[in-house]
Amino acid sequence: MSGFGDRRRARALLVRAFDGTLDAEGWLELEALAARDARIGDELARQQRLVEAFEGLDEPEAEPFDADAFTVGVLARLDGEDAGASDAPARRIERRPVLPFTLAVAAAAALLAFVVFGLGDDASTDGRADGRTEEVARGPRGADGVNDAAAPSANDNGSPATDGAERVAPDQVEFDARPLDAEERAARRAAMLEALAAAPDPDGSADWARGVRRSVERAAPGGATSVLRDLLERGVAATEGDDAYLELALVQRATAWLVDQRDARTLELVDDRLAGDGSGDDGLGDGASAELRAAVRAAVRDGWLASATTDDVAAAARSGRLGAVDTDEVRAFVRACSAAQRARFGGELLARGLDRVDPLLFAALCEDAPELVAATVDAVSRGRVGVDGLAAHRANTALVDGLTRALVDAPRGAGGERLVAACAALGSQDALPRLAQLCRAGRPGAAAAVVAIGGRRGVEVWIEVTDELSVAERVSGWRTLVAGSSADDLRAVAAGLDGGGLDGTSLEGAGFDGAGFDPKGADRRATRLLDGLILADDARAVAALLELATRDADRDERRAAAALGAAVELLARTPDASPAALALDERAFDRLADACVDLDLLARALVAFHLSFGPDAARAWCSERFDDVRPMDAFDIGRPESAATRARLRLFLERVLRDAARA
Amino acid sequence: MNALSGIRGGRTAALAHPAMTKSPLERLLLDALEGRGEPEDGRGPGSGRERDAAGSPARWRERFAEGDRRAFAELVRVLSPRVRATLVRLVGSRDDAEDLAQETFVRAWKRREQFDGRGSVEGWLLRIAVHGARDFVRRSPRPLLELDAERDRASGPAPDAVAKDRELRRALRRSISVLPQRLREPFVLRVLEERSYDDVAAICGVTAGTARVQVTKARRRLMEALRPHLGDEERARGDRSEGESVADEEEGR
Repeated sequence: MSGFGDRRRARALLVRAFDGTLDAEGWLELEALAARDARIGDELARQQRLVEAFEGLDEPEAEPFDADAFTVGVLARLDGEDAGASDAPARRIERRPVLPFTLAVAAAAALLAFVVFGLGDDASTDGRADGRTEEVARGPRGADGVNDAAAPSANDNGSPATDGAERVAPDQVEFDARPLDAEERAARRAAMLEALAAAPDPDGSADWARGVRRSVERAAPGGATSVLRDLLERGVAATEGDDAYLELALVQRATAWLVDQRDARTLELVDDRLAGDGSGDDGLGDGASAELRAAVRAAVRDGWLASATTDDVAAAARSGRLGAVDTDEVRAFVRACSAAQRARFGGELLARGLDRVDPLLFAALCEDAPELVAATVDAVSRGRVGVDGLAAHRANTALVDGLTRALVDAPRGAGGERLVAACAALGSQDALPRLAQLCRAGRPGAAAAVVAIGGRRGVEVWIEVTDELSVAERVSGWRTLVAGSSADDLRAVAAGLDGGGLDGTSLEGAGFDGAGFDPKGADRRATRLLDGLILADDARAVAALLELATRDADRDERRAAAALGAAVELLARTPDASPAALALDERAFDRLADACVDLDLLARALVAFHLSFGPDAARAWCSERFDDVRPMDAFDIGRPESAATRARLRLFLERVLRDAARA
Repeated sequence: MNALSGIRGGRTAALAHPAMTKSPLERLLLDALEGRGEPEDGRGPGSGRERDAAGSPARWRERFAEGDRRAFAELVRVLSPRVRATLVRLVGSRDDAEDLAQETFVRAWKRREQFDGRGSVEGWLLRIAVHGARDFVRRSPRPLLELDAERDRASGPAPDAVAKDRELRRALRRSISVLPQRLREPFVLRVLEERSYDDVAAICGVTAGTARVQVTKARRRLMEALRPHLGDEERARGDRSEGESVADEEEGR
């Protein structure tokens, strides 16, 4: 049992441990007293639990707080009071009533949807769908229906209805832009019917047999191909009972013939089916499978493509009725066109912008048809194609290349600005060197384009041009760039500062000479990058900041301290972010610690490590570097960003030092 | 030299970077930030450090005298999160803290001629804030930290150890919230925010020795209030007949 003096001393030490003024020597003394007296030990344990519980307290500094709005509120209050308008007590900062606002928006949206889409559907049904529903789209559920739908004047005896084909033979039909010979038509129609061949057996439907016979006779008057024979054989063996497959034959047959006739109702049917997503009311009944629905749509499409004009196809692609699933067929269509027809196709396709053109389909068409790329570039430059719609076409390499090449000679004025904006919308990395030059030349929109493109190279270019920009552009640019970059990218930029920055070869590759760039100004770039990362105020920048600190630890202590300080602050404010998400690994901290020749830098590195990997890892880290860490104990810990962090840091540092001293 | 003083906030470090001090205004803010939280060596807030004359507290005094609203607006933007945070800890309610923070800056502007330039701007603002909080607590019943309590309720069932920790934290918040204001202020400023005793004394309007005593008393009250949650091994063992802790003895109980 210790004496009264020990307890008295222990009490004094406990109070100092509580308020954070106890140094490591004091801790050692307190530990020794606690080891001798169980009551002191218990008191120490309780106090440590209490101090550790401070970690669980909220950190108001870390909560979202709109300082700008707050400032506006204060200034407004001051203005009001200056004007003598308000002697009221403190006005609460405006807090938007979120729930009522949300409900109001939802109600308005629902009303809008009801009025616009609800009435729109009704109107379209009234306008065109009644006859189609009875005659074609839904179709009859038997052979009579086939006759009624496909050939209203035909006999009802199952024999082929031939009036349509006889009135206008397929090879006599006038095609708007692309006359086909009979052989080509037969081949296309045969391909069209492959969808039927691929369909499952129809379970012996007699209707199937009759429907297919009529389809063959209507669709391929030149003679049955092997595909058709296969269909016939399967159809002959069928029995009644499968309306879905009959519908398939009906749709295919009607399409093949009536499109040739430019039958308005059939064209509506085509539009309707192409616009469908395969799950809607397509007349196949509830029992039809998705595969069958897709087969019906494909049959309609192929039948229609066999006779469609370039304008028709372009309009369908422009409106989104032809999409990625139709890519192969539309490509085949375009390939079969002459150069003049392709140009016409491109003009029509771009006539009202690219908003609804399927990006995959358009990319495939651009690969096949350079005229289409040129037409698009021209349309963009002239403002006929909106830039906003290009964002969906980032994967269209042919288009991206075309616009990037066009940027080389981008004219001053609105046309050039549109090309710049288009490259930004497409995220053209290859355009970055040229955009950097345009930035330096003060061309409008160039800086915004670099920011919009972003990525690692975007950041590298931004470093090169940032000094040319206004403060507002610089600040917003850095914030946007960092927010849109990954932590890995940012770290790679920091790590690559000494490698020459923006790659000069890419300038040459894009047709530029790279003049005006500063490949050796690594220190200047480091300063600019640090500025930007601090301005961005984003946790994604932590790894890059640490990389900068490592780079500068032994050559620019002030810059390294600024980088580490910013990293610590960001880490303290984002306690839930995992090291992996921030691209942090312990080896990076090892490199940083090795590079630190200054105790203050090492302390910051230690805080950053602790915030990243937690107390256990930090303790181990300290133990491995005890000789480096030990001098820290001679000083007050200082004030990192949060009370909880400070408490944790103090506890583990003291523990590490104590354990090491004992050892 | 305090080798770890650099840990004192990345924002300060960031602002200290030359590229960030692009305007005299920002330099002023930098000095405002650096004027607080001096080491434990008896130097008061805003003193004992050579500063750029353009940004010293004395310069701020001049700015206030000139009625420079723009500089003040930037000051509000930079310091309002810290003032608010301290007020949240002092009054418990976020809404009330924001109102009080606004009131603090309004009062600061109205009384700007009273800033004597001998301490940091932040210290001066916190002094106004603490006084405001004191008046507020006197006028209003003190709430618990409502958001924290809500968070505890929402966190659902948990294993025993986690539940105990949560219970401890809840009890801790409750205990802090019922500390008398004269104890709560120095406790928050010194223990939770780790300001120097000199700063605490200047902000609370007491001597540093008084602030130390008040923190000691706050500690005793917290230890006492939380005894069931902190584990009372002595009593469990039954080897402590007088029922007092070591600290109780020290404080003459």
